[in-house]
Amino acid sequence: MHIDARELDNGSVIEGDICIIGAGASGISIALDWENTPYKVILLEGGGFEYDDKVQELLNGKITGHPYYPMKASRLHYFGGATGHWGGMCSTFDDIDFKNRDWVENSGWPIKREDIAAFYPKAHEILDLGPYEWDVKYWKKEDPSFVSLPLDENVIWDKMWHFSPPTRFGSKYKDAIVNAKNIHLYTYANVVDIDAVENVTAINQVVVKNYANKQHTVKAKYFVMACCSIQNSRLLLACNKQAPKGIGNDNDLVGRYFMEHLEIKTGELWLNHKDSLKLYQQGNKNRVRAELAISEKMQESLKVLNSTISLIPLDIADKMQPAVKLYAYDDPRKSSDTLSKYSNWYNLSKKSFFERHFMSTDQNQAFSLYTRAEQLPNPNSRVVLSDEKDALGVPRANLNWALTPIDKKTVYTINHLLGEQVGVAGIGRIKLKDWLIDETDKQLPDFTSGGWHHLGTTRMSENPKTGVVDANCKVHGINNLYIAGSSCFATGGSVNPTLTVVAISLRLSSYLKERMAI
Amino acid sequence: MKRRLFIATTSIAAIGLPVAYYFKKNIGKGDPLTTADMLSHFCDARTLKDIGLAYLKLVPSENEKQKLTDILLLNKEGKKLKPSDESAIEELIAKKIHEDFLTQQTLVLNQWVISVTEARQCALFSFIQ
Repeated sequence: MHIDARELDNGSVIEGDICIIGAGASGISIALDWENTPYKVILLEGGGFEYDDKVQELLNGKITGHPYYPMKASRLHYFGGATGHWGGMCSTFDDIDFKNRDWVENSGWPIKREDIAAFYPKAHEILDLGPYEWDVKYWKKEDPSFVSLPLDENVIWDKMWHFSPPTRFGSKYKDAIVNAKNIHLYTYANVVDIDAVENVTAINQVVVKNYANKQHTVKAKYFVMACCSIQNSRLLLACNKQAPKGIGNDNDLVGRYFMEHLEIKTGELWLNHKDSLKLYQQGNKNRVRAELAISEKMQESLKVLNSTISLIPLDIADKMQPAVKLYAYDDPRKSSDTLSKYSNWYNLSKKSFFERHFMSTDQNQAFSLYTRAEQLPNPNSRVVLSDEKDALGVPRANLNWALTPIDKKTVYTINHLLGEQVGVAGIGRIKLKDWLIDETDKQLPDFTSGGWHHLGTTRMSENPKTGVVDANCKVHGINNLYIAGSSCFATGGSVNPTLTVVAISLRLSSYLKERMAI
Repeated sequence: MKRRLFIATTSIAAIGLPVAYYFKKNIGKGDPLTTADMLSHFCDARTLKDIGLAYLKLVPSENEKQKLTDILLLNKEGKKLKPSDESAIEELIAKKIHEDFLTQQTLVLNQWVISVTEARQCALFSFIQ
């Protein structure tokens, strides 16, 4: 069922069993998981079904620290959320990503990979990925032209990725949500306040507003915040009339540990022969590819974070520009256009008539190394409230994206290791970028891009002094408030998060179903 | 006349340019002591010389032609190969390079991740250039 909150009588009271705030990948996945249950699901979306610049403007804020994408443009504020412009790249987290690593400050989740892994297959299905197969051996059997580089897998291994079409939740799941009898989708319902009971141990209701000057309240047994890392923490911090530091923020952790994936061209692989390296390229019929990943053992012995390298034919990579420079407009539509023109692999790999007919070959001698690395969870990398308020009266969020020396060390280390492995294999040599080998500069350069992956800010920990939510994604000290998605990540791993976002949301959904049944 | 000149010019350019490019990019197979074989696939003589000079700057104690030659000719057993035995030297250098990469005896010089043995070859190359 769909209700436009602008059309309701002002001051309406909406009631349900569970209220999900935010209709992106996480919120929609949870809502659909409750379809055909006896429970009334309220799904709140701040925008409508299409892009609306006035609604998008509500996300605006300032950036400090390392250069980042404009706040207004890095998420989409309408039904389907950021899946409206995501690229579809998916991979799973590794065992090590959940472990407490003594060389990685603030690492360790209160859950293990297997706790999430049980939900990966369903997430796989939701994201329209192919067979649930992540072992490179399976894919080499499927396509014998997939050949691994002859590297020691104890050092550098082939990590598989799947490519979603990409699934646009806004179009794919609209009918299912709107037609579900027990799911009540409210569009133009921006949550602007959260009312808790007197001692702030539970949430009574949330207040929603829109540009039509309508204000309503939503009451439920359970509330799930699923509006992405920046907006989740913004809302918790802004709701400070009952809890002066903000809801769930007794220990000054909300908004902290904002993480991204560090993406940057770091060097070149030169082979002593021409090769397509098809296993490592996008665009094959199976919609999978491998990236070169640093092993758990090497991360531990060299004391670095997780990371991977993708191999892009040099002629294509040379035309690519850093995403952070291209995605610079406040209007996400304009930024997306520029980005796909100068950074999208498919567009750049299109060949001219002459190239197709007279130079047609998939064989290359040189490949660009495109590194994707985990970021250290850093308390100074954070979301804070601005003095400025948006049109609905909520303080805007400012982001200070702060990197640390181990981030650069990690990027250098995997590239240098690959250089040694390529040398051992006798297949070529690696050439590194100048800035990467400059030992006097411990920071990554300004043109290091993020992957539009907002992670952390309400991190998971069993201890309220080190995390905002517990192992079940429940906000510490508040009985009925939960947070879904990448906001809860204690560390970010090195792979794109959507698959894990959906999996962790389904895990939360499953837990809440059990609780509801009690 | 003009047409003939055009054909002659374009023919020379068509044949000449790739040949010139080939010789610029590849220094060819030379003395195994001074030719870093793998690197010479990707680097021109100028770059190989620069790598060699960078190595000598980093390890000034080896800034001597004879010293570098002796180190390169020394096998695992401590025996020095004869400079005239090219195939044995080629085999020895290949082994040393492989061993260097296995044991992390590597350097990053002029942006290339190379083995110490390759760096010494380049250093020796810089003396003869």
